[in-house]
Amino acid sequence: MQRLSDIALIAQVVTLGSERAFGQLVRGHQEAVRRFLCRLTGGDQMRADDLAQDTFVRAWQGLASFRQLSGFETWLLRIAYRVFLDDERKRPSYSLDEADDSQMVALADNSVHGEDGGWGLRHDLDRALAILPEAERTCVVLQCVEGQNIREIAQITSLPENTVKSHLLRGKKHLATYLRRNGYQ
Amino acid sequence: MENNILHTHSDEELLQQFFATHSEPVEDDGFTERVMAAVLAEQDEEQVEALRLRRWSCALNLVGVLVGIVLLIVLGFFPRVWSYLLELPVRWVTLVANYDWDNLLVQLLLHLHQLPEQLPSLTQLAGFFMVTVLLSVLTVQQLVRREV
Repeated sequence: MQRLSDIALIAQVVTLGSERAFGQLVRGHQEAVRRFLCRLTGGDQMRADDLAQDTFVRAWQGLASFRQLSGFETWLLRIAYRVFLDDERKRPSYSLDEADDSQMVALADNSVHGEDGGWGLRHDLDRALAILPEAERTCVVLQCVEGQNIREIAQITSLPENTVKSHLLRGKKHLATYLRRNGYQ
Repeated sequence: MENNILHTHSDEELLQQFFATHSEPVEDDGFTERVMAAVLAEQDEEQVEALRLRRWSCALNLVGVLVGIVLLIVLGFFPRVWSYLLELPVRWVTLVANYDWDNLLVQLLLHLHQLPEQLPSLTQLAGFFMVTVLLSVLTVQQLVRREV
């Protein structure tokens, strides 16, 4: 359900072009967007902040098209995910999407015994999520970190709900296996 | 099968515990200011002018509505309408009770003849009309400037 304050602020932005109202929207939702992008980028906060900035600029430009069919935060996260995918396409990087189960567990073992011995909370979290392919990681982050339900995750990722369920099942299973191997019980 | 179900339940608990202990707040640290600076930089002159006219149009509409309401109150429009509405049932009941069906046309004309006494005077109507025209001209001027 929309927060009444969000609806009032959106109305002010759309009808009067109020930058102050948009600033309040940004302040209220920046944490969720930046946190989501930080998890997708593997803990690269600077890159996540750049992407988050692009997200809010696009939101400002397209706010008139927001139809309240989904929550405002869901709509923002959808834009954020698209911004992330656009940025990813420009980067030449190895894709984990084709990795199978044994390769993923092997990657997990390598990341455990990496050179960096620092175990800050964020490092733990990002290393754990890094074992998952991008689609599974996205779905797990959206559900477990951002608290989105399956219907909302499907709206954000433009995937069918059954596919989202499948990604969540596989992703959580692999994540749980990884955590147990690394001493979490 | 039972082992799989138990494992799945404990997987959920494990993940819930893991994510709960690894969640950290993300402080704003000037992020909102940077976003607003980027948003304002994206706006070009045409958009700024369009925003300015949109705000002006909203304000003008609001003023027009308020002026219209004040004029109607000053001209005594609402009390007259209200008293007319209150009298209407009585008038109709009386009309029907005393109605001479043989003289339907005469009765109708008589009622219509009495109607103008309930309406505002021509002077009052003219004043209201002029104010409406003035506000409309101002609005059209602004729209024309925008096109130019």
